[in-house]
Amino acid sequence: MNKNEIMDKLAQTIRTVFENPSIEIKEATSANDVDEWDSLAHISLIEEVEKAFKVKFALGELMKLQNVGQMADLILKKSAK
Amino acid sequence: MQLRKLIQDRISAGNLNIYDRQGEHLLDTNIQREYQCIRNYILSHVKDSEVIAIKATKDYRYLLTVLACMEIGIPYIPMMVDYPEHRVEQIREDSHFKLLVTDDLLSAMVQNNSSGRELGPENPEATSYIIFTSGSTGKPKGVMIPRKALSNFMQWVGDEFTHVTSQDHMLQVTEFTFDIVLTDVGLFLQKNVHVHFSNFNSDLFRLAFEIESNAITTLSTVPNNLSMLLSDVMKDRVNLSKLHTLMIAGARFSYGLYNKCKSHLGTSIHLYNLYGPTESTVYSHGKKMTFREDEDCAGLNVTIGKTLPNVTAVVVKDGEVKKTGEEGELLLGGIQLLSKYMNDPEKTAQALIEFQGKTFYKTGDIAFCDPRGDYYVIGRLDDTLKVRGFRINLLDVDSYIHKLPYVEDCATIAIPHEIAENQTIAFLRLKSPKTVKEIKKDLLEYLLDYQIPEKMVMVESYPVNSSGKIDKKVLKENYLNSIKKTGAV
Repeated sequence: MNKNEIMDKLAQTIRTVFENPSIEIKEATSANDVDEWDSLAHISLIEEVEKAFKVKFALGELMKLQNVGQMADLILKKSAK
Repeated sequence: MQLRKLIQDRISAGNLNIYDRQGEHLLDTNIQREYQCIRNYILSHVKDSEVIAIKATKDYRYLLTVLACMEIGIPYIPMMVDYPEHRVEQIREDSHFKLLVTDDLLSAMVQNNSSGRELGPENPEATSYIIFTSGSTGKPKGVMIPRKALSNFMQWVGDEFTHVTSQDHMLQVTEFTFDIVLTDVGLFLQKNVHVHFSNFNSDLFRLAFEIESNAITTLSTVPNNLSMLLSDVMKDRVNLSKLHTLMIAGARFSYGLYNKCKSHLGTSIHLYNLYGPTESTVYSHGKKMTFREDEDCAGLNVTIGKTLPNVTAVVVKDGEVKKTGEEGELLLGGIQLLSKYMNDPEKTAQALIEFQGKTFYKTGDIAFCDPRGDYYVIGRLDDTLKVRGFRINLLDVDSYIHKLPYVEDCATIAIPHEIAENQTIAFLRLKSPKTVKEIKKDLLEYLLDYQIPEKMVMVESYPVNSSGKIDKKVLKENYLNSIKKTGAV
């Protein structure tokens, strides 16, 4: 998968987890931009993203994530291994 | 217990083992120097009869300021660094605090070379700190806690946690506005634990990382944080094996969480369920779990245990003390009671009552006591509830939402939530369209993050009762039915 494909799939996963099909997702989108994205929802989101992409994030990696684009980069890096 | 001597001895003894928010192990000589500077600055700028407020980042300098106030005997008002200006002004008007200690001022204070003034006599009746909590009218109440109450509490911390030593590492998660932080202060003063200041705000992955990477052994936190640390997504990601002492407080410790602890943490952990309103100095009750269900639980209720030394409790209904097993309102008495609410004789008179010749604080909590003398809290009498460990009042929240010029009407309800204990939902009728994001942003001017309803639902009308008022009970039932149908939570 390339980064664009990962971004598309990430956007789909985010919309499904937050039950809101109209959320607009860009690389710079972060929890601050999405009403539904609180600390509890974040945990559910990570769980679903890991399932969808068959990857596992370490705690140290999760802490550094600032936005959706960085999440896509991390998935790309992990999938390439 | 002589608080002043305890603090002086601890600071001068060294081996302070304080790590700042960046994780840096601070030199004793630096901490001791900064402590003296902060202390002397306060001494030279504030009289014993005056009050200071602290609105700074939760870090070691906040701790040093709190300790300096406790040593000198000057009451402090803790605030979070991001308190909205509106709330700071409300507190300023109420308390007339002499000094507002901010991060910038602290940076200047630690360069202070003045020698201060002589310490006044240590007065057990004097106020130690004032914590502002939610009222029901939009105006926070200042709970004034005397030094004798804090001393009694500190004595309990020293006597109870005998297994905690200078080898232990404690993560300072809680903000100083939340009085459970004083347990951590007590452990620092009396058990010489290593203190790590946490960067945790709401990202549970960060909390888990900090616990693991700092090999944390001792932690005070609220049930929902623990619940998330033990959730499926966390449990195979974080190693909690070093943790041996967990002090859980601030909200109801559920039977589900009790069982989760038992299976995920094992039964050798020192797990405490602690209870107490701010008005009775941190905790009035505490129970170290034995992990024997007949000792820890009554049905699906987990006990808060017995009262702390010099604290008394009675369960009362219709003016009579209830028998073992019977429910009623929990009244608290003894040395740890607040002296009063600041400048509010009316609220003080409502909360502090004379009962059978003694003064008691009406907690508003519904409780019962079992034959062993262990207490159980099972509900509330009013609209006050806990969200993420913080006390909020739904009427208070409504009163602030009504301040927004585009809000026609509003009703906030709370529904049970598996992890957060309560989830708040505001039903709004607007004069002009606004997005949830815009409303939440506007509310941040008046309310703290945890007070802002997590969900907002726009409505055209409300169910009303026979007197024409919004019927919150029906509103809640309708909402619960609607989410059952859609499966949304």
